Amino acid sequence: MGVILEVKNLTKKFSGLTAVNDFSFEIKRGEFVGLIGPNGAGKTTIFNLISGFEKPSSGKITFNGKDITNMKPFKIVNLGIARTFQIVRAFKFMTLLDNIKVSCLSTRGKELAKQYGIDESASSILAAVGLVDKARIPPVILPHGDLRKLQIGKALGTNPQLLLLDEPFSGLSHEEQQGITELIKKLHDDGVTVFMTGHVLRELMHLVPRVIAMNQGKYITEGPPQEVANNKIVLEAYLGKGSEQLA
Amino acid sequence: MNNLLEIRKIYHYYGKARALEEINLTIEDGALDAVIGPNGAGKSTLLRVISGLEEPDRGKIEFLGERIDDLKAHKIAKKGIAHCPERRRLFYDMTVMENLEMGAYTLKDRKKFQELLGFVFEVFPRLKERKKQRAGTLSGGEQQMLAIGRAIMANPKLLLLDEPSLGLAPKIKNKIFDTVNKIKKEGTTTLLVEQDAVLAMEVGETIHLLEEGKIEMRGTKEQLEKEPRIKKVYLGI
Repeated sequence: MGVILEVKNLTKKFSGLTAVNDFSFEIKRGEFVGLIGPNGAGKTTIFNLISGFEKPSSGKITFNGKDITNMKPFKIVNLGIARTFQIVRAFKFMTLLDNIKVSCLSTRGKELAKQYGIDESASSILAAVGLVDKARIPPVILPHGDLRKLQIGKALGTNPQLLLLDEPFSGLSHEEQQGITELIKKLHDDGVTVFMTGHVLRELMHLVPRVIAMNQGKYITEGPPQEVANNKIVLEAYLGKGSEQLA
Repeated sequence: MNNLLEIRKIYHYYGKARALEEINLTIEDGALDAVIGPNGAGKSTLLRVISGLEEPDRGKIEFLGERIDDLKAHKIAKKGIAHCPERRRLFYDMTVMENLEMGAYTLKDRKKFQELLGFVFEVFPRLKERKKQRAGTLSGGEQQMLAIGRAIMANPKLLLLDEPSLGLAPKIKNKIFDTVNKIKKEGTTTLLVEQDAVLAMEVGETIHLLEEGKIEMRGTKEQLEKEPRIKKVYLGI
């Protein structure tokens, strides 16, 4: 497996605060990786930097061997990275189908839609995320779990190779979380490389084979979830100093 | 000991997302209880429901034997519950002294005011040194001291403290928690919400573990220390 994403010595400073501090990691093509860390660790900032929503203070991001550091978000999408947001946003008063069609109009989305047309392409994405029976209704009346699915669908519309999912479980009921879990598993099985964050770990830690842990902008460790969960510094980041005395 | 606060089967939803589910919690007069749990477990919501910033969707809350779950926040404050919110929420353009005066706005008794002010300055001498300084210019630790001080100035029977350690260096964290202990010794019943489980277990007499809106477990530090569940709740595995 080749490396799809390489992040090297990435640093992001916001006046006085170093949100991401000399952070390096790699993701291989077809991998399924989680990024964990307590609230404020810098997970979303890393996603913002990869997807071009923020410019790094220093460091380098390489996607498929191409330097994408400082590239604009739309260019990064056209290279094959799509992301979702922690706070769900949708075109509230357009139908779900039209919501998806918007992202199908992106360069890579159009490429994908060439064969069967945009309507067909968007419908099949809605089917994949389990919303096909709601194609004609607008997001305003959807429950939160469906909005999360729609967000993933919108990202899929751009035909990504690498999918960044920011807190896909947050604010969901247990049943809804399981629905999203199934969906993400399926996408990964279909060949999409998935990189996701989470501070609610119950689902994530059982889903991914590898996690990268961070705190206060810094890399701590990476490995299988079970191993990372027993790392002393990880425990300290989540439970506080002196956590080794706990069972 | 008498029960100061009794929470019975409280449920709270934000839209369709369930934040609290069947919470039962009793706080005895003079106790220091701590609620721990990972981010998003519902800790802050629990405090907000008690102080009336949120109205619970179901259930009952009694304070000193009187139902308060349908009262507005300012009425609950008058009954003697002070809420020290997460991220401090000070009056940043006012001075330290003015912030403390604002905390005491329900207090009629001038002598009591002086007495409380004396206590705040005794436990946080830094605030005395800086009483004329604008709150927005204080350091993070000093702002947290002021937030706690402001809550004390209301002379509460029950003090709700939301994440007093958030964003503070370990040394300052410890200082804040020493003070929490002192406040308790002075007789103020305290309910503390804290993500730093280790620190909370140090000071809390009874610790309640919250996971996804439910109280999963409670006990003393000694009882919970042996429980692998805490790690599991925080790290999911």
